[in-house]
Amino acid sequence: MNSSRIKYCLLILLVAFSCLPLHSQTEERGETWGEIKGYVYENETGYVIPIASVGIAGTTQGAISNEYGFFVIRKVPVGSQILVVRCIGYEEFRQTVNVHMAQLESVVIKLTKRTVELKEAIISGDRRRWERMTPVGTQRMTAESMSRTPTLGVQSDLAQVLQTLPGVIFSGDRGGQLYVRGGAPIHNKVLLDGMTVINPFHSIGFMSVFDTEVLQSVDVYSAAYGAQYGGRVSSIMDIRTRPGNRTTMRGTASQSNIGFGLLLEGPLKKMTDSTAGSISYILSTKGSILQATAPVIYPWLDSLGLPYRYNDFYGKISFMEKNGNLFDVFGLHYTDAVNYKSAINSQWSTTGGGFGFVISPTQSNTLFVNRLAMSRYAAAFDDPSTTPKSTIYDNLDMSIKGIHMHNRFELVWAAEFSAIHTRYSYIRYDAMHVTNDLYTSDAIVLFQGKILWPKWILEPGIHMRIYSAIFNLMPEPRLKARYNISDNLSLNLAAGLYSQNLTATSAEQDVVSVFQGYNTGVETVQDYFRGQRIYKPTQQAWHAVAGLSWFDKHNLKLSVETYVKDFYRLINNNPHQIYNYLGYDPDFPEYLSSPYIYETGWSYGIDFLLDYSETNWSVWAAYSYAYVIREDEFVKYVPHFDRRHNLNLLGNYRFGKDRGWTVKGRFQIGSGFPFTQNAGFYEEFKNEDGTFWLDPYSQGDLAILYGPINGGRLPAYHRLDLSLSRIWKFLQGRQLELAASILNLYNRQNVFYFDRVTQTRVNQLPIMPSFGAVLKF
Amino acid sequence: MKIKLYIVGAITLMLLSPACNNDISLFNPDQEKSYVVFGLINSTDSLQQVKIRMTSVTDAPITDLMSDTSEFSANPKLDVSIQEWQKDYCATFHLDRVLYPKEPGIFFNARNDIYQTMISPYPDMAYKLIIRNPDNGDLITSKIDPVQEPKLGSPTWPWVRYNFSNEGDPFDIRFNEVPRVHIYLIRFIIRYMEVYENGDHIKQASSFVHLPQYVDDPPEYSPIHLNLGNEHNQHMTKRYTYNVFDQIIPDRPNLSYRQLICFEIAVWGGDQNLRNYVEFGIKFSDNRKQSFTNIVNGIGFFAACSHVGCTGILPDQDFMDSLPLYPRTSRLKFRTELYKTDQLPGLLLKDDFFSLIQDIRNEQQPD
Repeated sequence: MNSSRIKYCLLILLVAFSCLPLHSQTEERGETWGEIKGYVYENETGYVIPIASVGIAGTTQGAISNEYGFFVIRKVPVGSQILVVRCIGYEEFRQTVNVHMAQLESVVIKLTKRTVELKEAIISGDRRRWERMTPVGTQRMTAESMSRTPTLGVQSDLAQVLQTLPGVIFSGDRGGQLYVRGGAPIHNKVLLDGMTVINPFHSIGFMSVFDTEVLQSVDVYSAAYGAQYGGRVSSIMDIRTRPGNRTTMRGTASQSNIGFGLLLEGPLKKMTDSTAGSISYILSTKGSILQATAPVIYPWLDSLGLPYRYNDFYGKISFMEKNGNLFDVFGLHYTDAVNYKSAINSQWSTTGGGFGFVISPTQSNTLFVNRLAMSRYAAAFDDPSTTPKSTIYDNLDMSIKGIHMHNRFELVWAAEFSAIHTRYSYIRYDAMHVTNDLYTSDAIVLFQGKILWPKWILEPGIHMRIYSAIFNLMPEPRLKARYNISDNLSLNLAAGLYSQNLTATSAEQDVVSVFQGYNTGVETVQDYFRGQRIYKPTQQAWHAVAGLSWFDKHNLKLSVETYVKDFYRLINNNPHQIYNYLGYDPDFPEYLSSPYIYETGWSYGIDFLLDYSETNWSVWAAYSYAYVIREDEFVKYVPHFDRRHNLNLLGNYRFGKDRGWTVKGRFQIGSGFPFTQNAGFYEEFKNEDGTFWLDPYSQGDLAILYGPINGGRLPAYHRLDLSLSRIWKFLQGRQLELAASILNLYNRQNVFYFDRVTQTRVNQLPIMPSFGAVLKF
Repeated sequence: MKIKLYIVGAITLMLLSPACNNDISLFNPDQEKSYVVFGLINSTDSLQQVKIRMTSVTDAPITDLMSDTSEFSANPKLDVSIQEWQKDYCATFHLDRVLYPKEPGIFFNARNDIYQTMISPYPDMAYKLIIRNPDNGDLITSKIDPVQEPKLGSPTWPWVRYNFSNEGDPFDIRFNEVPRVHIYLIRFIIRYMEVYENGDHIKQASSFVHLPQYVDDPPEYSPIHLNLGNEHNQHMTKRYTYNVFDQIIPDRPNLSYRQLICFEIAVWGGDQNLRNYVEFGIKFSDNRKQSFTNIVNGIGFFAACSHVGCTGILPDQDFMDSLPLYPRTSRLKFRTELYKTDQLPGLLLKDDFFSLIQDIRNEQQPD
């Protein structure tokens, strides 16, 4: 099928499904009833309220607001009806709505916060959400849940919180990367309001680029995610930011010995009781001062020190129309630099921006979510042992999504387009400057259904992705299912097919990878893999997850999930290349000459999670048992992030007057990472004098013969972090927080890297106290 | 109840106790030593040499081990031979062990174990290296085809003035590809006399190595005639050559002046094994961890090479006149006239090549 036919088919599908809501609305608005749709927002801030219950008084009809605060109630009897809106943590809201025959009435509901225990609101909201979802392979985090983790500095950070999730492995405090259920960083996609963020973590492993205060929600899909996501073979992290406060000017300023932060938000045009129409802004910046403070505060640090710098800027302007429809524009700029004197020198930056609509047109009960975002990631790397390298990743994402809601059925469809440019530049062995520029575009059409029965929730979907560069249409079926064994216990299943064409230049054998170049698709990969001709070089994987989830009314959440990911085709940098690649040549095995090779892989394991919250305390325990295996034509090995056992324990206790004191603790213990042992040192032939003469008098260079890939194991990793904070609350929501924390309390010497020649060991971060203050005004 | 608690505590401690171990085992305890072999069949020479060493598998800082003369040494009783093959014909040449004094460096061993013999390689023969360890029966082998000498097109005539100053027609090092050669190394040597303020005269030589030139598809070998492939041309304009001077000739205190004697060039060709070794064995580290080897039951290489050279290359007078004036070479204090011709070395023959190289090396050795 050629590309024009594919585009033609896509266009027909798009038009057909755009008409679907129009067809259904005429069918359902009969002669004796109409419909009500609308949005639910918070009165004090203008933030969206999901999972609010919206009903018609005196009837059983109602709906639940979705993640955009949108709801539709169908078959509402004609006449004056009282709309009752309830949401735990908010005052009940009642509004009279005149429903006209075969008409769609639009309302904007603003709920006022109730002065109740915060705990009740959070937990009940969580449980309401849990009841309506298939809780498998998914973790949702909010600003509140993220604050349970002790952190270096004063404000919690997503990078620290993600490490505590079941199935997530973090490779270290210095230049660490995130590995989710057997997937490498290149196999994980991070979306920020629909924009792909290629590198979400700073070089110092415990800081992300995101300001936690700006985040509305973070959904981590660790396996078998639904049809709404694609383009990666392992996992998705969908991050959504909130708008600025629509009624009041607010700010947050923080300062610690690690860094600083400043957030300002407020209305440019206020949301009032009479109208929802408003404009708000939010601006956030944060940065590090570690380079200056570390030598003074941490004199015991090794010679590497903490030469990390970062600065992050984020801004968003959000327009709300009087009917509750939204339009927002955002921009961001993240920078990061590491400069180990006469060693690693690395810089990267991400610049991006975009805009989006959340709109439900008049007389349409469909919610449209449209987004356009562009970003550029640029990185450069230099160290004495390698030649300088740089990479660029340019991305344009466009999408139009339609959400069609019934009482027991929801259909999401979307058409997406993404254009990607990657550049990877390096100095070759012969001093030639090589630049690989690649351009690709993907077109995506997806359908995701959700059917709710009393005992079952079924979420079938299909994600169809066209890789235009290789003329490959990948239909990727997805399915999630939930069976309610009881009110509190559900059996959950999910499976799906996934693909991607983005590759990274770092090999999975690399232990510390501060830099990786990107190629959107590769041209020099094997033609044959294990005797089979590969025509479409996409990376593909199957996932399947099964689990039991318990969420009782006493706030106890337990889950056990077992998963398997069959990475049946991956593309990796070829560590075995010893011949120059001249295309397919039967005299030279491709797996010894091709710069990129195919691999297969498996990851499987079982994750346990206990999550319990009380008014004064909470506990979180996550244990993962996992296997990860990779295999190419040449060798079978476990990648360096294959951690068999990983346990995270989090505790949180509030005490004192007004529960103003909080103590938090985190203990992590994990089995050692694999590493490649030495098979010997030897004296190598040296030909630097420009001859091949075997000089019988000469000295050779020292060289290392490596053993089987990742045949050894490093010692176990464990660490205890503690923090103590005190909050003073003042009038009008102002508050001051003073916090102190200690990372690695008992100064465990977890290995960072080991110099094979001198047997010099450099450890991860030692004991590190930090302190700071946060002022909310 | 207390007993149960003790049992739970004991089990927890047992489970966590491995986590207290914080040592790293750099080597697998069962790791055995490997043979490290570097052997070359040089078609331009009759002396063929093979260097044989062993890997070290001792789990200690390597800097401590390099002073141990036995750590990297192979069994002195090794039986080393090269077989010359052509269809049913086979001749065996036994290699003698010779201990060469090792120049100073990171390995403190006093001597290099070199196995050598005299063979004039034929291009239509194959050569097989066989190493046997009589003590344990280890057998290490490798087999190659020899290469032919690069065909040098320019320069060819010694003690002739070559024009470096004509930008439109600069001095060229020109040669043709020959069968089986996949890599060419070009070396440019500057010979000069240094005269010091106290009247001392010291003959010096400095070398510049051009970037390797790789050949993907060399001409087919023919036993009847020499097939030549594409021509390679390394231009050396006046400015380029001045920059070479600037790059390789060091500043010296109390130097009165320098006088240029001549230039020399050498072109080395290597087979596919040498190309692979150079291309992927060096530490340019695009995340590569494997070094090339074609040694069975060992590491290193057994490869084929050849070389050709020309000495007595004299630059034109315009080049010499500008040499002290060019900003980057003025500090080198070169005079405009060449060194006295009656002290020029004689015409360099192909067979003298090794002695020339050794001569240059000896002159570069610190006292």
